[in-house]
Amino acid sequence: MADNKQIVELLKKASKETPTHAFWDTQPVPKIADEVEQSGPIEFKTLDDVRKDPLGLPGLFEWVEIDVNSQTELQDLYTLLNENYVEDDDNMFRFDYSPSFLKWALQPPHYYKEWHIGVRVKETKKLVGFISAIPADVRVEDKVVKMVEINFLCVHKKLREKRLAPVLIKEITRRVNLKDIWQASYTAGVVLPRPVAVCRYWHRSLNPKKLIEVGFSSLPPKMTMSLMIKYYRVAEQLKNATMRKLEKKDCESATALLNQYLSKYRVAPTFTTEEFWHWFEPRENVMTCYVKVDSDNKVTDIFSYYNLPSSIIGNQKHKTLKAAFSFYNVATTTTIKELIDDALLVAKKEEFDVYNCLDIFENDKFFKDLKFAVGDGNLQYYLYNYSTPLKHSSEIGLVLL
Amino acid sequence: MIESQFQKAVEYISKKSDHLTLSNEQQLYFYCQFKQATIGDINTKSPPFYDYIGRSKWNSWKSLEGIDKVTAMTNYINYLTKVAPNWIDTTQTPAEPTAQSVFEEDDPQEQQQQDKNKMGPVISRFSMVDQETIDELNKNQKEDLSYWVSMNSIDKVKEMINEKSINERDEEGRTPLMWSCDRGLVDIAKLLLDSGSNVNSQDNEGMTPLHYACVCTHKEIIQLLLSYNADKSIKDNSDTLPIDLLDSSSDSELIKLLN
Repeated sequence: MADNKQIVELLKKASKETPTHAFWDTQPVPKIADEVEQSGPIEFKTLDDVRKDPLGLPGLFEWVEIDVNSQTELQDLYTLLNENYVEDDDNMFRFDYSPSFLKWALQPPHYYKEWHIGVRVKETKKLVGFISAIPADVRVEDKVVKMVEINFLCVHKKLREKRLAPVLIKEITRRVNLKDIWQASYTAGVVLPRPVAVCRYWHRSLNPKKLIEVGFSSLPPKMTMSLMIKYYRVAEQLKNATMRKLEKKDCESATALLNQYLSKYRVAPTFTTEEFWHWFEPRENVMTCYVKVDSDNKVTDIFSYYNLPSSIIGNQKHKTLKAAFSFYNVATTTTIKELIDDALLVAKKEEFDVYNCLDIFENDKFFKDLKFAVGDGNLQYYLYNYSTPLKHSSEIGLVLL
Repeated sequence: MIESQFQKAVEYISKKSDHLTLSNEQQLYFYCQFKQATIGDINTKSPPFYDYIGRSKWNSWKSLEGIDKVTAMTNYINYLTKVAPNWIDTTQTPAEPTAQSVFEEDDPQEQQQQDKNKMGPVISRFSMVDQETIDELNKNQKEDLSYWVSMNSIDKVKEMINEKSINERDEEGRTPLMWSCDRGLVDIAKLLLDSGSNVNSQDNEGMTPLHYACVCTHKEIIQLLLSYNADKSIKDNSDTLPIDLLDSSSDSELIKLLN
């Protein structure tokens, strides 16, 4: 990875190529070319500065709160995202967050239902827009900042020209501000003003045949698929034979272990035991978390990943690509390499096609040995109303879903 | 208006999976006309040469340089009318007429831009083979029969088949038939078998066409080879039978076939 100066140059270049950020220029975020040396909020406001009524919407639309505990509302949200959320550049794949994933992602301890904001067509009640925030304590350098994580911003494809996205962002900001919270973290595949870190996805193939068949990966001429299949076979036995699924009784020591581990990163969340259990409790088709414990039953090692499939657009044979996304991993009695090797084995058993991982944490230590290949997608991390010097991807200890 | 008709055609294609099957060439045609119609002349760098899906898409778009958007839209619509003459009837009965009337027509270009300005996660893809290996492979690339088999180019294969080429081996001792079994190309494999390819030849590692088909769990190929009397008892140099190479999740029907 390039050093910070090179990254700043790249960012400046990227910002010249993309149209002016009419919206982001009005927001409390650093300009792309700003030299930032210290960490802290950009603007200070009080509750008195926050407007009390929702932003205006065009007459045909109305604000709603989405109750993800209602089957029908959850289904509306699932459908909106399934048909309109993030696609790759060639429009071959689209993220397919499952309903159970959405319930999990949107309802951590102390969540607010009013932060699950929907926009419906008044007449038909069709859901055409969504944005969400969840509370999180994230440490930036040496200061823990009470903030929210913004996610699932989605506008129906037919309404993209209506500039609904900025209104959704402003409305979620307003509602978060009403709870006396003034900072946020979010990610994007594009360069906006201004990234805290530029990160990249790496991929470990678990089902090469399918990845090639659906065009997720490619095979050069005169390279046999047989070789690829043999090359990407995973071990049959766990390296850490005693690894098992996380249980409730592990929570206290696991939380302590994870918080301790995260303290070495410059941007990282802190978890309460309650939050830890919410995020790591094994949930079928959502979260896989394994731990290893010592003779005192204290957790010494953790691996975890979440299940985020993509719909394959217009493929006759395959409808879904099943992808595991690396979450938080801690190795103390084993190496991170052996730990992730075990995660790959479990992911293969759970029939994932690919294991995806950002080059954050110490992840680049195992990419080469465990046969990861670099991806074509960058992911930028951002903070809202908080400036901090640009970080190297390996200084990031935060995962957003 | 051509734009609204184009929009409907795009929609039809994007929801096509249930009622329309497109070959790779047809998909490519729609792809490049769409890009030309919505963005205009190609504005991206050529993908690396190992990404041949990316390359063929890029080349197809590049070939339309200078064509104006209306022409590209017209091409798109006309071609769709050719492959799916009834498409327009399908789109005229929208599933949600009330919602439909609420939305104005999109400007496809704007939609394209909005797509790219999104917050949230990102879908990343990759090449499984690193550049060094690919460079090495390309150094000695001969455009022989095996090469065209590996590229799934049946026309080229037909053109090049003769008594000599049919069982010609590459540097690893692989025959064109092994390549078709590795890639899972049923039509080409059948053509090669009917043209006299040896169904039981072994490469430098002792692998037969059936070994290749089993590693890759290409069920139809396995069935095809067995119907041409492939010998399932041949072991490769590491003493492995074809059946031992099947993926552990393979269905019982396949296992029965090979026992």
